[in-house]
Amino acid sequence: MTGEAMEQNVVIQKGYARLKKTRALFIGGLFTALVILIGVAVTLGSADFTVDESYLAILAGLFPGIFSAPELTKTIIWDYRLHRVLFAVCAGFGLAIAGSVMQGILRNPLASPFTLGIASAATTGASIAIVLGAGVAGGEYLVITNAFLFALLAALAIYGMARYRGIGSETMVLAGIAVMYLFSAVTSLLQYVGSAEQLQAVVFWTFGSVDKSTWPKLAIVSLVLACTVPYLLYRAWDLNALAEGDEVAASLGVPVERSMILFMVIASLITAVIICFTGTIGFIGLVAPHITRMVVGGDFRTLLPASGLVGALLLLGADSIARSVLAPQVLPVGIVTAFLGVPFFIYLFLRRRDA
Amino acid sequence: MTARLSVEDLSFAYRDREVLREITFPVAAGEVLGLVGPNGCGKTTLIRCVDGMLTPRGGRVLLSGREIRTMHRREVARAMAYVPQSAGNRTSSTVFETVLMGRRPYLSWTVSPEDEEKVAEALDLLDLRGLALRKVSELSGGERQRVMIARALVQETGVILLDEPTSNLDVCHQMAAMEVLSGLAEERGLAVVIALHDLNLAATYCHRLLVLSAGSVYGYGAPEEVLTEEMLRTVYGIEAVVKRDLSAPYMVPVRSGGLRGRA
Amino acid sequence: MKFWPLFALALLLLVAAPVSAAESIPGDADGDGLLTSTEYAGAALAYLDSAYMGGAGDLSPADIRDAAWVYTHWDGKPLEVTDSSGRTVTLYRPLHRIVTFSGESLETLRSIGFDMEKVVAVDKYSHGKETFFPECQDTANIGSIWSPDMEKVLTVQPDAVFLYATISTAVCDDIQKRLEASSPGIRVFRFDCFKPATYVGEIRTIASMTGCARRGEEFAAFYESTMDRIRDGAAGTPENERPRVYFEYWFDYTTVAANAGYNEKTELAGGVNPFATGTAEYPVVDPEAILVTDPEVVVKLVGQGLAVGGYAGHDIAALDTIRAGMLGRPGWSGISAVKDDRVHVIHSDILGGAQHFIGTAYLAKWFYPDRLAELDPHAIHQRYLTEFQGIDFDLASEGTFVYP
Repeated sequence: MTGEAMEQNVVIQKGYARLKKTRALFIGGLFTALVILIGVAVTLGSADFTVDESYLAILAGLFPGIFSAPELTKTIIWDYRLHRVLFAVCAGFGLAIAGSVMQGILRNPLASPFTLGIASAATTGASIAIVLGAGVAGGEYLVITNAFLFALLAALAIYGMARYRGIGSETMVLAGIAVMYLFSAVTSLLQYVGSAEQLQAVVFWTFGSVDKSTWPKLAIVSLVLACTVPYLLYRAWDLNALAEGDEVAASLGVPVERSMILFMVIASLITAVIICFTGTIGFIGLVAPHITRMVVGGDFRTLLPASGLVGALLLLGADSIARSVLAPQVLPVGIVTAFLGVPFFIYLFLRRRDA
Repeated sequence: MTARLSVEDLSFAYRDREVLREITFPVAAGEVLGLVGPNGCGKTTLIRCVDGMLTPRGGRVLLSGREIRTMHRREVARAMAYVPQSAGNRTSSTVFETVLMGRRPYLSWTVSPEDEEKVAEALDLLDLRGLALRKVSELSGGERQRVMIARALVQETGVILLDEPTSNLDVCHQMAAMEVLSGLAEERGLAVVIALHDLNLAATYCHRLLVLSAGSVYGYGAPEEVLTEEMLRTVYGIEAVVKRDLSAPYMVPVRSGGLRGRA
Repeated sequence: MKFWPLFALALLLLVAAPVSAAESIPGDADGDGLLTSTEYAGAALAYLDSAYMGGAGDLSPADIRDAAWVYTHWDGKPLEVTDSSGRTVTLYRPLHRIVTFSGESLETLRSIGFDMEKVVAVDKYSHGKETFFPECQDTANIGSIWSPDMEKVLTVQPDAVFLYATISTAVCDDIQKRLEASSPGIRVFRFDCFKPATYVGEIRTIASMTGCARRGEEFAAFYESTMDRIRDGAAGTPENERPRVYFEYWFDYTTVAANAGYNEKTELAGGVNPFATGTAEYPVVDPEAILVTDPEVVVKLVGQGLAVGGYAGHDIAALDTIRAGMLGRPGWSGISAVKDDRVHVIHSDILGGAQHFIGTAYLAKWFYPDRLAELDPHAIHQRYLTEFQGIDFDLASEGTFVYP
């Protein structure tokens, strides 16, 4: 190779290196922003604490020997605020990751974790629990376990249908639409049959909120994320390859059918475990990966963590708004995130015009 | 010497409909084989079977004597590359990263400097240097096709399969792509199988042609032997004249009423 | 209480018994669950001793006051309270800071003469009722059961929280669980305070809980006597002779059935709702069926879903318009109820909630005008407002609840 050619190669490689660095900085920036937002969110709430009092209570809970804070402050911070904030972070993170995986395997930048009917199925499960009182677990876990199981049922249905017709992005989307309409119909029927109060409960569930978070629920979601996200990162190159097309991915050595099913199941699992606790929080799984991709590109090694962070920021921000805008009332966070979707789509629409 | 790629008695059917019937042909290293035939004759299906995307009902595909069925997926990926007809979906990747995907059979999680160098080389070869950091979705059809070919190159395989890579290109880009491919086949000893609909292009650049007609092999051999008026009448159902006054044969379709429609 | 013997005994006791770590009545020195006058005196003097004479003692003035209260109201014994969900809670001290999530329980507290200053937070709907709960305008607002402001609840440091017992149970259970998990000192009580079947019992339970036994009994008697007179109207009348009633909900051609509270009250008042079949609570009725069934009385509900009148507005004209609209429906001129001029409009404020007995009294009077000629729901309503609720509201000039 000539010296000049080698030089030109180096220029290209340097360009790529710069790209990588920009992306790393972006992720670093996101992380910092998230930490700051967590710091702010913990001080928000209708109990009137100053910033110092809030942090003192946190420290007092962690290091009871060294710091002390009033009992009431500690109770409010540790039993009501802290786990809610962290849950919003985890839920936003998870939904965004699930969304980016869905957008990858369905090769559609407007896909979301709910594209395959997961949300509709979970709502049906919740409705069955609320209206008919039927389900596998009892008491407070009735709605939660029903929602989770029905969400996985939807994933199973997609798998079954896709296997029958051949696993590819088109068949999955079609199967997903069928599943979504089926479960929506069942939910509507249940809503019609139920009493006014049960109907209210079902509708409230579909709003999506972080209100019911508890430390054990947070632990469960974190555990699922801790198990699935590293694996997804490890398989990032396969996700990248799938984006090039099924055939190309196969020729590059990716086990296409197996991988698509596996990724679909993982994304569904993450989504199911989150929305069974929160209800259907929309748009995070769609908006976060989409706007992240516009900034960091489609390489899943950076797209996954970055969109996760963006999702966490969006959901925590939305929840903080939900808690403050109509104080002392707490809006369900799903309503705030739904409003998020509007400027996003207007922006997409305007961009289209220019191009 | 064993052929680089050897297809023996390959048959394939979609449910009940037979698409390919006992196809057999070898491809040697350094050879460019043109796959021609009318629409629906099974060119794409054949390529997919060779590539392993579809499972044939009968017959086998051998890479340097080894059946691909016995080979691990990654081994096959290092031996055979595939270039699709169109550039697929609009990803937001850069050209560099799209070509980098071709290194997947060799990549660990991080990208090594060697991988990056090979990508740069391939970009140079396909004259894509200036576009390295542009988004693929912003390129023209011809540029995107070159990106696909570059990606197949960095895969460093012994065999490259191309499914009508020139259908969306204008004449100058068609020729440029074929020049690169035949040049590389000679230089690097690649076995190239390329499905084409343009018979003249195929005759000019391919060492041998395989003519498919309704799923069977109609003819196999050098363009001079295979490209005949008889073949065109039987396989394509058209009247044409085959000229042999240049280095490669070429066909000229005949309009009823002679050229230019005059009696 | 006789002070002299107590004083003498107290002189023998120089050190007060320490308040045990387990819950007990303050001053119950031997921990046997009964505060005797002796023990009380001992505790009082021990406090005085520790406060002024340098003795050792750990009872505060609040403890002493509580002990006195327990002695007076509960005969020195801890009170076992069974709420409407069947749970039993033992109280060792009086309640000083109550939070109500339901307007009905708030209203009941007022009826039995509870010191409203001790209600430290109310739900947002009660907070918004300026006319009915004027004294709650400055009380803390803790949202609703669907959207509770848990932080605020904890901030006001209540010792008791009132929630519904048989409706919205999932949501109320959740609030109860969270409160009890984070603050064991808070007692949660489940009371409906709007169901005819359970209200009287609840009045008496809450009265004994809050030391308002006398006043509570007065109110319970008032309520019971009204309900008895309502039942008199239909007493002895067989099913097929009871008046057929078409009860229309807020929405046109929607009636009440099954478990709906309004249906229950219609039947309590001695009416028969021929459309109350099936399990749906608010079934839509075919207009033709109304003409065929030929109801003898028609009752239309207004309020909330059809917001006119009530405590907020004096708007007879609006109720008249609604009534006229119904009379004008095609074919209605031939219905018995229209011909006999027995079409009435009633507001949900007095038919639902804690005032349901007033509305049901109106229903009974409309269903049995001859037998219940002396029943005067208007007077009952006014007495309720003035004497028991203690608000300055003159029914003659304010509010619209029934028409005609």
